Amino acid sequence: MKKISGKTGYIMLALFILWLLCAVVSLTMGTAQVTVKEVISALLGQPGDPAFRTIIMDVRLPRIIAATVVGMALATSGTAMQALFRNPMADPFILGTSSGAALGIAVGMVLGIFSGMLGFGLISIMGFIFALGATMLVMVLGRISGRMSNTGILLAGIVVSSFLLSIISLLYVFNHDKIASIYLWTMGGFNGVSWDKIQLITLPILAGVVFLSLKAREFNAIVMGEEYAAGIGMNVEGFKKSTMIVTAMLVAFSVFVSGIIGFVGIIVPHLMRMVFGVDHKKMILLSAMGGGIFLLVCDTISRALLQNGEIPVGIVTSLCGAPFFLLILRRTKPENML
Amino acid sequence: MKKIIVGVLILILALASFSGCAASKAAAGPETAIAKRIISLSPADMEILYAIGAGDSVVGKSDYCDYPSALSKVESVGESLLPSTEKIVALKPDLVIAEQGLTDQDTLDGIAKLGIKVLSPAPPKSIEGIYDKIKSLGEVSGKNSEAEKLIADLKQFIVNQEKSNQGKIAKSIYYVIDTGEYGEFAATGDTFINGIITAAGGDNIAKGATGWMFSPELLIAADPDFIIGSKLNISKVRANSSYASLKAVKENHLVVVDENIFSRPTPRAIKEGIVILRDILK
Repeated sequence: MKKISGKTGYIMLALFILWLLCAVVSLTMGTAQVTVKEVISALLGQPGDPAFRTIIMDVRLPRIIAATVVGMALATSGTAMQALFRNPMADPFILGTSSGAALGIAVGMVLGIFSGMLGFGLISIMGFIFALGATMLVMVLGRISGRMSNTGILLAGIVVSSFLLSIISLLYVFNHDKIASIYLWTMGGFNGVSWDKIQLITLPILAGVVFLSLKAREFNAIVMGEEYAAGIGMNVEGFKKSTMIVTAMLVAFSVFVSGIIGFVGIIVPHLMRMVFGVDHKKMILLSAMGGGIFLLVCDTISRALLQNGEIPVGIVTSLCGAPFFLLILRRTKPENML
Repeated sequence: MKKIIVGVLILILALASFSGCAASKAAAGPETAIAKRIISLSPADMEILYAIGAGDSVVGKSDYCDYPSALSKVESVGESLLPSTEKIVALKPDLVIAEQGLTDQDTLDGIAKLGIKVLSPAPPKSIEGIYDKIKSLGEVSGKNSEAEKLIADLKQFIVNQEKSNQGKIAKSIYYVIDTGEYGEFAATGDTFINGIITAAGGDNIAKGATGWMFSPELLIAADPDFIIGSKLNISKVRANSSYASLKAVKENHLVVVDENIFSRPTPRAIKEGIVILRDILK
């Protein structure tokens, strides 16, 4: 990785402080009435009401971490996919990942396998496996005369997605009584996040983000066109393959904890480009941080806005994100767009 | 600059792993045989808890739990589908009861991970299943004898009903669950509603089907004496031109019933449900 300029460093530091601020505020917000004093004493491990301690340490804190990590994964994947396909509409789920995950979840629910495996709900594991499977299928089917062509991959992604979604619809028809819970799962959310899930996903996701950020030079080249990238001696085919695999992994781990959360992978990368420019040397890490902050804020709203119960976070991401995004879009300079 | 990035990553990691250790201690909560603080997210199970006298142990409900009226004083933790985990934890329950498929499984898994006992069986599919449910709720709430008594009472009630129905010609009934643009769904043979219909002396035209699935053609072919359902579904049947030739539609034997009584597998479904249907069939 080339040296990041001092200015970018300050931006990242500012974003980190913003994240920390959001995290602290988020800790004090929620449906249960917990005072700031109780939050502090729970964090310091001082004796207090054990129920409040559980709420702070085992309900709110894991959600803050999970939302941040998943936000980083989705925004980074979105950035990578948009650059790879030179398509501003590309999102982390473009390789059929989301429909794969949704099918895995639906199959799990319909079969009624609510039992656990390795201490995790089997449904989450089904989502993970099917997400990876669908992506691999798209990558294999998208090969045209031995080469991974962009058009081939995009078309394969669309076709595999609609095929899998039609299987889900079929499952809906035969399982009328389970529609609500399957539908909810596919909308995404951090309800039910636990520390062991976080321990499982954090390292692979951070590793994936770091891997993609180290490929900044290649991303900058591929945005100029595949011929250009090949011309400067890049192994385009290998780069595409490794990027897709890493992205699929990032998305599958995200799906494992939170189901399918749309919009983050589209809006955050574009937002970051509009504000900070298109250079991937800074864009990828900035997207990761922006995604973390964005999803943390959205999840806090999703669990704290209602007096009772929750709003699925996928609804919050588009409801809050879309107007904000349009506001920025109107003021952006053309050179800061992909 | 690299240092800052690495630092940030390490901090996040450290935070995650540090708090992870804290969580494992809290997860090993005490597990008592008889629950003293119960939250039921399922309206049906809530009705059963009150019917066996376990209402005093109830500390939380879902927005859908509206019967009996004593529940108006109980705190809600949100909708059955997506309740608030923190609200549940704040009420310090030792048991959370839910219905499989009605409440988000992820949320239930998360609650169980916090050391709170969670029961979320599939809903009963027959009147026998309702008895089993009453029995199991009696066991967890320490109301075994009350549960046994209620079951015996309900069994006797059904025996009496069936006696009084003898010698009458069974009228055919169609209980509509959903109809129209999303498909035709009915109380099929593998549902407790089928048991209620039979006990009331009716003949369920959908008894041969399973999994709530039916079809407009089957309905037209069976041409039942009565069509029963919620206000919305009955109005949809009435408005559907392909059902205009049905006997029940022409004779205006379309009956609106209280959905809450017929959609929840409870003692109320047996006692009130059977009486309501029997009065309709008279």
